[in-house]
Amino acid sequence: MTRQFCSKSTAAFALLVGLTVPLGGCAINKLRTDYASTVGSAAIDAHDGAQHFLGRVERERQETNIDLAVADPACAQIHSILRNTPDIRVNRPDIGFLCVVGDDNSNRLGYALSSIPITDDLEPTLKLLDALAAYGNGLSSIIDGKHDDAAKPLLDALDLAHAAQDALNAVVPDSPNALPSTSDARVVAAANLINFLGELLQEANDVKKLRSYVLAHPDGVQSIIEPLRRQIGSWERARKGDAGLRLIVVAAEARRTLDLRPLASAQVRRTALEKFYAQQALAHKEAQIEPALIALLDAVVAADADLRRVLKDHPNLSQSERAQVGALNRTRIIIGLGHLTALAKALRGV
Amino acid sequence: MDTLQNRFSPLYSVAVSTQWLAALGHASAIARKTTAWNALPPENSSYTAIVAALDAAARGLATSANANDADILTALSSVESALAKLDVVLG
Repeated sequence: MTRQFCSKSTAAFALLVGLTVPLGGCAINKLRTDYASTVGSAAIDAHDGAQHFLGRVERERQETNIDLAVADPACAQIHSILRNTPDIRVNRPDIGFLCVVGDDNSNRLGYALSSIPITDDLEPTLKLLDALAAYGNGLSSIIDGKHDDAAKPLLDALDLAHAAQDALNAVVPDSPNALPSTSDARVVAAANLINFLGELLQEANDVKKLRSYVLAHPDGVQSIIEPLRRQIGSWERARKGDAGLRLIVVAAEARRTLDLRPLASAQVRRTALEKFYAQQALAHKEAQIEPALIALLDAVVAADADLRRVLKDHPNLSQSERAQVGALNRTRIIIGLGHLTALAKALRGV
Repeated sequence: MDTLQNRFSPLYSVAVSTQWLAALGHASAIARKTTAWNALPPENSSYTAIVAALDAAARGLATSANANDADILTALSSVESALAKLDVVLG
């Protein structure tokens, strides 16, 4: 019955005969479209956040390459070996205190370090992000009504005129069949009523489309989010590794500057320490990005689960959702009665 | 990794700084092994022991960060041992 009310032909009649049919189905549909909208925007937020994060990962690798190559020319190779133990003594050599000199890549003296850009390696993660954004955009476009063609406003106008005519004819069966003027108070009142019903109808249509869209993505966003979460974790680890190497560079420089004899000037020593603490603070700050991003991904999963739950025919609503639906029903009954009263007043004088 | 990065001070002695930065370099090199991390099977009987060793080593380092050089060097030695175990798993 409630689904019938959300359909076009019976809805107008139901309101005209006294608005006795409950609006429950329509209010739940509103909840469904709200939830779909939340999933859409959450997915797009997570996509944007992850892209920003990956951009930062890529730049961190470039900055690490620069820092290492500038600090120690022995590190300025595509494949270098980071020393097991850096030489930070004051009289250390300028070349080879961080990386092994020459092309000995046997790993005996340290750890293999590659300075190859990671742009291509980021590609699978970026593809997953595209999939997530496509899902979010799909839901958003259903809710935004972007899927409708350009003729829709004209069709709406036509429906509206017909409905006004039908309503007038029903009350005044002997009146001429010619349409009254569009500025006629009766037509305006009928139009408002039809608009209201049209909104309810739109929700019902949206829910239908949402159901088929969600059915076409049976695993929800889990199949995208889970591998994405793992890959982001992996990139965060790599980013922290790069941040660690950058910290070693400034730490080695700071320690050596402090140990210089004769003493380096106060300004030089201050600058060396400030550079270290700035780098340490930056590393700490950037470590906050990934947890925030994971929270965004979790929000998408939670929103998607909510949407799937309420899309069922008889959803098991939580207490707050029931309250939300109840409030929406009350608001709609008041609006519907208002439109009905306006229509009755407008028709009284016919 | 966080403990190694956040607790280090360039005001430590050269001996401590050297070992600390060595451990940080080791941890950083391991962290950058993206391919090896991605190839790790989801479950392995050795993981629990390695995670426990890393946790204990990080806690030990955090606790000793304000202590004397000898204590810090001992803690750093535990960190290196735990990292070596992780290195074996990653290959």
